[in-house]
Amino acid sequence: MSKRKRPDSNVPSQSMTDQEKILYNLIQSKQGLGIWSRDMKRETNLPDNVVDKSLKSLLGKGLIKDVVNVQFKGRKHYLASEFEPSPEITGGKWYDDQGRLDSEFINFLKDQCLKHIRNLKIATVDMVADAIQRSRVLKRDYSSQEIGEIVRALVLDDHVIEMRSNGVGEFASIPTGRMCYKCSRSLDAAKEPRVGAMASIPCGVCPRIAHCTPGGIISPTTCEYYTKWLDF
Amino acid sequence: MDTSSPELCLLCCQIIGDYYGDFYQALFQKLTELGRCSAQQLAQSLHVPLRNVKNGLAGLVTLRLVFHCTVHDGPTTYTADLRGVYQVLRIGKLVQLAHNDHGSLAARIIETACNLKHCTLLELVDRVSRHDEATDESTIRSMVQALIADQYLINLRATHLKATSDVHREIESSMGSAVARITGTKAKIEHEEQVRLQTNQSLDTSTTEYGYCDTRGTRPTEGDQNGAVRAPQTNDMRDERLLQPNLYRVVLHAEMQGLRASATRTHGSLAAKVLVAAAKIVANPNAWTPSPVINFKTKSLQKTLVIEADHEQSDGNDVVMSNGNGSLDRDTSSVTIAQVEASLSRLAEGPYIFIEHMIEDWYIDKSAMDKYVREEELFKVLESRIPQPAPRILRILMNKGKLEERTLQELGLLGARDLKQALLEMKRLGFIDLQEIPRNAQRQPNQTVFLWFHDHERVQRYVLEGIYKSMTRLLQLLDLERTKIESTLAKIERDDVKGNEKQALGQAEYAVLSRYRKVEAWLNTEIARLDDSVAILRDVPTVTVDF
Repeated sequence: MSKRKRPDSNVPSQSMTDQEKILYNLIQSKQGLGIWSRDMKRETNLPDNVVDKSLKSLLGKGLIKDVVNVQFKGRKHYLASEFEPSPEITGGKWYDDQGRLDSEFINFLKDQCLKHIRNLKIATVDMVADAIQRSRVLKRDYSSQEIGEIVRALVLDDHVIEMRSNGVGEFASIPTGRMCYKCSRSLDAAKEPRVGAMASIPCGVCPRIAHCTPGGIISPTTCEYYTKWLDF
Repeated sequence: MDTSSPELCLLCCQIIGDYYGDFYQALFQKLTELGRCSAQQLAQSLHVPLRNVKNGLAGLVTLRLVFHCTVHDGPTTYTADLRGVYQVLRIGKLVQLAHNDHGSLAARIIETACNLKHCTLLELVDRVSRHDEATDESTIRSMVQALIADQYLINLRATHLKATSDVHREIESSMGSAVARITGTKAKIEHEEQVRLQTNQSLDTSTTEYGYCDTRGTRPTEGDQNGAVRAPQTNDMRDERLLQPNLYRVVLHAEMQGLRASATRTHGSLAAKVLVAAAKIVANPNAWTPSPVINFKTKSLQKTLVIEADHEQSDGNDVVMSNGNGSLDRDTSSVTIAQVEASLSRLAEGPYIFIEHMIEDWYIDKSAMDKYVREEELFKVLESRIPQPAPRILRILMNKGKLEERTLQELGLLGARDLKQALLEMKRLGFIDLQEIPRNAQRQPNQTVFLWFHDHERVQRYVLEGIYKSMTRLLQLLDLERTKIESTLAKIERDDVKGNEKQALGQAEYAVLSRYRKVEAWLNTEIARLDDSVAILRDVPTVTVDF
């Protein structure tokens, strides 16, 4: 959600030209979503050079600011300085100021979620969010919805399994029908990846398997990987 | 089975070469290249005398590696039986399973049945008793009956000796001229479904053409689709019916092992035991009869588990063969009804959603269970080839269908660069594909929507091709290793050397032989592991059973 800041009384809004006023009003009307310069030109019908000059002037006066759109890195969006960019522009809380996904932080949060789910044995998203909040490892509080996104990523990674509580046994502390999560494998098992039959033989991971033919340049009889593999 | 798979054809040729020699291999290879052909055509293309080709084909037909088809007014034609050849690899596993379930005598009986391919009960008992004089005939006979009851040995029907396409064609022709008059899509679909059902019925091993009922003799005999006259069965008729080893049990075992591994990982060993016991109830060892949704009661499942525990306990002192393929669970603790009930409840809440509880009974949807096992296996293969975030992307695509890169980025919390790299790698390996949807006729890239998608069947075929190729390479390596010490291997076959290798061979030669044996065991174990993947990905039935 975009938040409106208190207007700065020192802003020289009176010193704006007519074109600057038109552009400023348009930018302000878009609130936190902001507007792309090309859309601005189309909506105001002002010549390109006037728009560019006015934008530069408004930026100089600190009345507007430019933000990189996370979905279209080449497009600068302008918004009034009293607004904060909306998640549609910045990509939300998981993106940094340059519009890049903050993978490091996401991984840290995933580890935290996994740790708390493992400690709790079975937990709902609210329980995980609460546990993280109580641990005070994060600078700011994250809502259950935000933690839910991280937990769902863990489900997709198969680190966590999603279950519906039936209110009995290990689900006794969770209301019936609530979605809850538990670790899909023990701590020791989690360190080792699941190994399929193909992983244990050279052909399974060979990048040149498509070119391998008996009697060819790459062949089972001349394969170096197999020579090493069968070296007892 | 996909007969259009070139890697499977190569693998089958390699198997025949290894087990039955070069001449059979050359004949079979030509058959896979030519498709259906007569002995004359084979002789011409191989430049071999017709008499030799006919002898070779007779051998291949007897070994059930080639189908033959004789029509009323045409020549006899031959087709390669890829399924039959591939199953040669599974004989060892079936013998091991019989040993685990029924002991060493059962293993000998199954081994004999596999060598004979098919035989009557009398023949089988006779053959086993000739090689095992210490065991009396009545013991062998009762063990054979036990193996029939457990569907290790199943009835052989005439249709099993024909290619499925021939059976299909015969059934269609038996429907007469009515087939030609069928018009309209719906009627054609209904007709095809009817033919498919009749094909499966004619392959069903629970009955034979002569109305012998299956094993336990408890099921009433029913008329088959051709309205064959059913005679009441007598002991003599039971003795003379043809039996064959049921290699489909190996597939079932692989499926159960897959479920066990998955449930042990997620819910622990007790829940895994309960899940496997429940899955065994719905898993029908008769490959030609699809299992629908089947119900069972907690009490009956608990009884099964207790019986299994007792059985395992009593077998505890038996020597277990160790070929690296699965081991027996020696947990002898019995379980209570409450424990079974609790385990089933936990399993049903996720991710084993094919288990459902309604009123007093539990239900298992077999097709959903099969799908779950297949997907797990596919993920195992994927995870061994590409690290995260590929499995995450694949799960999103499997759940949501076709997606744009941007949506994938949002759903998977992935950076653009990481996502692109993973997508390209997955596409290179054939796990996903890209669909282009142009917004206008100019087909400009900036006006085109690119959707990533995962075609499960195509990926499965692709993965299978990779596994077949790997198996072929392993067999070729084994062949190469064998060639390297050909003279030593010939020497140890001699009567004076057999069993006395260490003394008869020099130290260096014995070291070479020991190394070869290690390599052989190693490669065979890997082939068996790859076969488990094939069993799950290819042979665990999809919605309908169609071999």
